[in-house]
Amino acid sequence: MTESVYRPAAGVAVTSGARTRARLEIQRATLANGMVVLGSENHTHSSVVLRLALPAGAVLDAPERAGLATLTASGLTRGTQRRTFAEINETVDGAGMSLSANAGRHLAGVSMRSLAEDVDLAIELLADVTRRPVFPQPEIEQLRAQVLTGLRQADDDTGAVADRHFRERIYSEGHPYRRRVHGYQETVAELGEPDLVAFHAARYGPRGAFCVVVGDVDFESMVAKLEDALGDWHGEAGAGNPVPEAPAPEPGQEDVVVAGKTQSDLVLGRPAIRRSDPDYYALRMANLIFGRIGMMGRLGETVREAQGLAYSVYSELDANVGAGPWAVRAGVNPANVDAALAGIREELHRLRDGGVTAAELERGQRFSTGTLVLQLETNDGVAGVVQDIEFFNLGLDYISRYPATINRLTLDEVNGAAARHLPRFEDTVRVVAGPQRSL
Amino acid sequence: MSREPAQEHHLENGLTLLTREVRVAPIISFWVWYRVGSRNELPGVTGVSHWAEHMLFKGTARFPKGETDKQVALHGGTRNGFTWLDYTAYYETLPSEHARLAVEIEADRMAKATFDVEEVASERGVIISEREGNENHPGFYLGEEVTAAAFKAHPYGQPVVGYKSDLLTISRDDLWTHYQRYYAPNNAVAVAVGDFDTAEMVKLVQDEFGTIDRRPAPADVRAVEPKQEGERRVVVRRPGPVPQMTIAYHVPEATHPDTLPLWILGSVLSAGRSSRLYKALVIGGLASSAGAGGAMTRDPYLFRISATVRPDVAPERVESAALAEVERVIEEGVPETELAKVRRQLRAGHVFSTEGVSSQARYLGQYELAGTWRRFETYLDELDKVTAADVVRVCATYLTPENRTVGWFLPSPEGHRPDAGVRGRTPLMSITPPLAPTGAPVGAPQ
Repeated sequence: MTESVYRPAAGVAVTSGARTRARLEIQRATLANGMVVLGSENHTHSSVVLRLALPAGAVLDAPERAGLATLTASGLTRGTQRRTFAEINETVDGAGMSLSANAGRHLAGVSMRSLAEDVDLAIELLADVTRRPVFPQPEIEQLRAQVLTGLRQADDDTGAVADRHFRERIYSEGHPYRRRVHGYQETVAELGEPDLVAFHAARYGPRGAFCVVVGDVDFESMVAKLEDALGDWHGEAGAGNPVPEAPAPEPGQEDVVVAGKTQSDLVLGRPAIRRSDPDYYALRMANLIFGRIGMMGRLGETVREAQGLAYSVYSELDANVGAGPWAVRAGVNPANVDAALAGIREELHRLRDGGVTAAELERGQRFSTGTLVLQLETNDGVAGVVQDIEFFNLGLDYISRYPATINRLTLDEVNGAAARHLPRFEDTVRVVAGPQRSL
Repeated sequence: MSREPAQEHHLENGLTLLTREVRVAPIISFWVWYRVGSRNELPGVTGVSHWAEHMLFKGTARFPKGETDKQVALHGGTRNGFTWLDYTAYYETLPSEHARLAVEIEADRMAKATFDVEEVASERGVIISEREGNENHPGFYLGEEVTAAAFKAHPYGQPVVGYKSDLLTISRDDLWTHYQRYYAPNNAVAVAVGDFDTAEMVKLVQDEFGTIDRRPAPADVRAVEPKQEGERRVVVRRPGPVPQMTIAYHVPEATHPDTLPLWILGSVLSAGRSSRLYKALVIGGLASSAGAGGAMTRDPYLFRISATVRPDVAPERVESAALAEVERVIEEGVPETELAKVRRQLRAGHVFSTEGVSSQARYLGQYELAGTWRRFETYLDELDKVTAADVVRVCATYLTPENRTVGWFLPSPEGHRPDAGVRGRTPLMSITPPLAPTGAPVGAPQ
């Protein structure tokens, strides 16, 4: 690979100095009931992002009730002891706020965005929907029908279908990462408001819950307001389940036909590592170089640029509480699936056998540290990082340590992690969803 | 919150430069917008603007293929390009100490691309893959058919990504001619927002772009869409999960005084869960989602109302309910309290959406390409002057039966659900589903 180096011409400084190192002051406090509050003040825009997160995500769903955690979270905003659904909506829209409640694989939560002048109302509303939802029958019925329509669309979406079959092949029966976070038509159809009430009672409480406040507010006064709104919230509910190990799956390839489609979506991979794995940063770096940086990394250079087969081809590493998948995803014409797989195979083996180069590593390091600055530009971006810091226990000084964490990675560490944790092509699970292919 | 005003500068070769200093984070976003998009395309070469955009990531003598990606990554930045009806745009957002890199890349892109024949051949497969990925989503077909039916004279009726038959035949020379014609300083707007000194930025842009020659001004688009004289209907029947509906009305260009009342109308109908369409269609149990609104365009375009129908609901009920909400605006008006709510939503949305330098640069560029960037600085004040009577008037003027194109995606018998049809009506235009995808690999070296 030829590496030419960009050299800025001397004498032109269009900058107020080299100060691109990311900085972020994060404060942390604990309410009387043990709930944690994290905040970062940003007085450059008159807006605030508020998030309340708690361990009530989809990993808690029983297989036959997949989708319960997300339906419960969505149901929080459908009416409380103090407000009807319509009143919540009028309140939110009347202040130009946004309010959304969702559950992911591990965390459920409520997110709000408001003008700084409306933050008191936002906090009161946040506490209201989290603590006092009533899951009224007609509103939950309507919500469930909305979700079912979405799931019906997912079962017609080649990417979602490929992912469903992929997860069912790489995780064993009963593993919480096997299931789709939003559940399935057949499971969600069976869920009713009593299920939501029971899930909320069992899983929503201050234990393991935390708030993130970012924006044009004073942290101390935010803590006082959150104490008023949430400090007397008690209960034994909360705390998540451990995620079992994910043994290497049986490799192989599966074709799934979806009617009326033009393109095939393919996914290839297997479970990789947990976020807490000592190899996390090294493997993430290998993955960035393999299928993300620039025009989708080495994968993009081969399958898109050289082969001209795919608009979209990339790899992703989902290192979570448990070992999420490492996966390559691509959309290609059904006639080109085999050629695309061959291109992916070649790149995967080139990475495992030959590793990345010193120049690629340097670029990856500078990309990682530089884009963090970009991410911290918006309140939403900061809130996301702060939430990860708390959830994965990364330490309040995570941001200031981050450049060193990235820059000390060596070629041996990155290449070692790739060789250890990325599968040989023959050991992967591959799913192709799309039109009937002549095999 | 107060901020530095934007400034407009002009180079001798005709390049417009918009700058705004934002000294919040050590970041700069640098964009170049070309006044060319699907609006400028003739039948037979639809998609050429978008394909040309792809070709402009293929390298130059100064930045060989892949080099700009490497350099932007090496300096901790992001970059992209995109194409739409009226414009093709490119940007880099990166730490401000590397501002020069972005300006160099964009100056090089304007004048030094080579359009290598083999790269064109390889990219044909990528472009067709992009279109085919879209085709996997039923809503893409519906959007394409509704837009095509709404316009018979103006090129806005053509898809930005292009028809597949054109993507199979567009040549290197088509792309090269497009580049020569439209990629000129006098047909472009550069936008810089972020942590820089304005005088230094102007000098840098002058240094990098100033040597690029002006070109003959491209021919103007003369097509004018004639007044629509009656409802048009299109139906797409293909396999798919649920019915989808779009109702499209012709509305004026962005600079027209009725544009802001139409924005407010869009918000009255669909901003948030207290909006009229959300209440009537989603809470009403007919649809899983509903939306309404226009776009910011140089020529008159469309205001659309759209909905995804619940599988247990007859599609015609959704159409009637949506049209009833339009009628209700005209007959009952918009109360002052509702108007105040919408103004506040728009004002808060403006604050939220201008947090980052990339977002601010994008808005400045979009407003400039649709008329003038100054509108971006003033539209919140203008919104305050829009009255309820204005909103009712534009609704009654534009959201009329004669001016609408109603489109339905209906899952075909081959799909998940028997044809629910829009019973009792004969579509004026029916759409034959495209043939099965061509199996042969296209333009891809094997």
